Amino acid sequence: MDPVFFPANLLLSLAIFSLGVMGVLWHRNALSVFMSIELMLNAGNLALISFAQRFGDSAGAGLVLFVMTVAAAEAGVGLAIFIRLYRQRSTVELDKADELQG
Amino acid sequence: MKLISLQYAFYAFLATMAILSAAYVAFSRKTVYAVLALVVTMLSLAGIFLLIQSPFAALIQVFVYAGAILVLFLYVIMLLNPRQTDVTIRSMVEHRGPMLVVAGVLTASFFFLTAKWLITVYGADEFQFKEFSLIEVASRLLSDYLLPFELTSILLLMAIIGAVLIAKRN
Amino acid sequence: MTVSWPTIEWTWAPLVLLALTAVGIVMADLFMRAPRPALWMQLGLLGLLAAGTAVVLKIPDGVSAFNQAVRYDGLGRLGVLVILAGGCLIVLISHRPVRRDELPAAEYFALLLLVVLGLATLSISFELMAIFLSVEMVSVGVYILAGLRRGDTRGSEAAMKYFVLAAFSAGFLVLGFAFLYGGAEGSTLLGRIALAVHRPSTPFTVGCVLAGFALALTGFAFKLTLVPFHLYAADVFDGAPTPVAAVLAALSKAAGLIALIHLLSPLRIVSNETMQSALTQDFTGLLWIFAALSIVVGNAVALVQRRIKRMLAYSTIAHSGYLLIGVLVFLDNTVRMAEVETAILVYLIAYVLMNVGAFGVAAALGPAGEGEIEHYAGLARRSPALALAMTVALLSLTGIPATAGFVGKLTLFARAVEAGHIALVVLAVLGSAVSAYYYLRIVVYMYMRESSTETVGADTDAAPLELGHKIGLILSTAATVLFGVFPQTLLFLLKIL
Repeated sequence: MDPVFFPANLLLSLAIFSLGVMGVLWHRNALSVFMSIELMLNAGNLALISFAQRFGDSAGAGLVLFVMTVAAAEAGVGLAIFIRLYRQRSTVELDKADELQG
Repeated sequence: MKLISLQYAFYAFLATMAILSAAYVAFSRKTVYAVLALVVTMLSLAGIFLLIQSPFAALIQVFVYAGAILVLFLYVIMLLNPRQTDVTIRSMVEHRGPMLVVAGVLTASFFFLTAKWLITVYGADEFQFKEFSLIEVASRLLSDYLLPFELTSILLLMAIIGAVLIAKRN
Repeated sequence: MTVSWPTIEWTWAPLVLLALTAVGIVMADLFMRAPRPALWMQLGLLGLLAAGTAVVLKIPDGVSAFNQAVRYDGLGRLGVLVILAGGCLIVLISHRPVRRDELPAAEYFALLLLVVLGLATLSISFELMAIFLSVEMVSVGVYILAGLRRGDTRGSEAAMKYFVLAAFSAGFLVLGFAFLYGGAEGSTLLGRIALAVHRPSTPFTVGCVLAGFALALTGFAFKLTLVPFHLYAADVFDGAPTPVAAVLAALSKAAGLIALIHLLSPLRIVSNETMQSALTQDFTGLLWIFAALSIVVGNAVALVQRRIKRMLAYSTIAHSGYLLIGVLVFLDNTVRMAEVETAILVYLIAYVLMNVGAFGVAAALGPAGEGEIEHYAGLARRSPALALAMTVALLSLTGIPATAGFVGKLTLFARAVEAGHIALVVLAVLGSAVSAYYYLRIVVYMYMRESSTETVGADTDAAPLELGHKIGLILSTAATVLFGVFPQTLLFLLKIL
């Protein structure tokens, strides 16, 4: 509707992205890290759709769809890995995932 | 006139909600609350998508993201004991102090530089947000973006095989 | 609104063949009573070879499709062939690990093929979304493959580390690509981005392109394990099944590098327009720092590694630094494009061959061969053929004359000197000299140390090596020596293919 939403959206996207990056570095918990990564992807989506609407590209929503597909695929496999690691850890009684020397 | 100022107020509300909930996700240690905050971020973003005339993006944001992906998150957290989800990544944690400082400074400076540049360079230009019909989006997806579209199908196939393989017990 | 359907073309063929083979393997597995690893391996090889044949015979140089979204340019087309050939070798050297660790063979080979498909698409994509999705296909495939071993916490841990960092870098890629998309005023085609760089319409789009390239480069730095984004590499290599580590070390570097070159190709200086050359100079500086850091840190940290796969991980980090010199030369217009591309391809081929060789031997030796370097003591006596293959691979990684690695380094560094990157070349040569210590240490262990009691573990897996595994090692070793002694054969191959 209003052109001013466009630069505002870019700023918002940058803010959310920066929060996401900081969250990734802040958290020790893999699940929280992954949620911060979702923030980064969302910031990317916001920037994508804002640019698409600004320059009148009809494929914008489609691009967002691609990013979401990737996020869904990652979440599916990532959370499966997480469950498996948790299972092994609770049976092997490893209190931290640190078998590989850092 | 009145409608426009209402839109501004709505936008300001959504943006504030998005930033606050994103900050909660980024810095809170309570995983379950963080997922709920993430839902708030995503719904706020969906609202903003609506404001810039992109209802389809808003719709899939609600359905796919807030609806499917985050439910998966919640499910996993509930499945595992929330207190025991503390799986750490040691090699990252080891370098955490300096990495956090460096990355924080870099991210902050990146943010401020870009914000400053946006404000100085971006003049008020005249354009109208235009709403595209679903048909237009779909026809672009199946012509110009056919390759990435097909790649998503393979990606999802891999994810299905992978999730089953990894999560199944012997 | 009319939809223009793209016509079915040969450009699809390699990708479709790979996908069909992978799906076919998974489907056929449902109807098998007993696991048939050898059959799935042969099918996988068949698919890869068919795809390669389609490229060689039916896709001429420079063909493009999908409205310029895909282009088989010189680098990309030969890059696909290198990746398919490397894929064949890795399928072959998977034979022993798949049988020994009882990996689910059908799914393993299917996912491996789909990862190769992602890598092949990556090296011919000229469109941001296709690049992004193929990068993600590779990441998702690799972290599934890394965590495939049953009851193995190290594998799961490696999978999780790779997953977190791959997703993190995907975040950078998405925002970077969004800004590039904005800079090109609503197009994801690299051609349009080049236009935005060469004939910028507003300062706003210039800034978008700049921010986009910076973020995308960060994302790629993770994939190419450039210092300081390399922290995960050693852990992932050490924990993942060895052939999967080989995919990460060799193929994913090759495809990632080609994609990075395509992505940065708008920055290649065509004339001394102030805007573009200033932009390029900024990026040259950034790439220079990445390259120098990777060479120094990779070589230095590799010196102190005690486990073979961790050592190889740091060695690939150093090699990423050398490869980045190729990107720097590419951005410079003082060297002819065809010459740079040949130099990069020669290096990549050598790099893939020697890495497959080294990881292949480690995979053949089983848990001991994948562990401590000390376990290699006296290998020459126990299995002289494997020791010989390992020696050739390590000499080639060092860059000793008469190996492919030497030819690769020589051509690449010669172009770099031509383009005036002398300081970086000096650093790279010094790095190679240092690397001789940690590579040749293993050769010394194999030939000059007696095996102590601890190394007995290496013998427990002394069942005769599977034929496929043997063929893979023989091919990679023979090619390393052949291309090293007669570099003309390699140039001839590049010309006729």
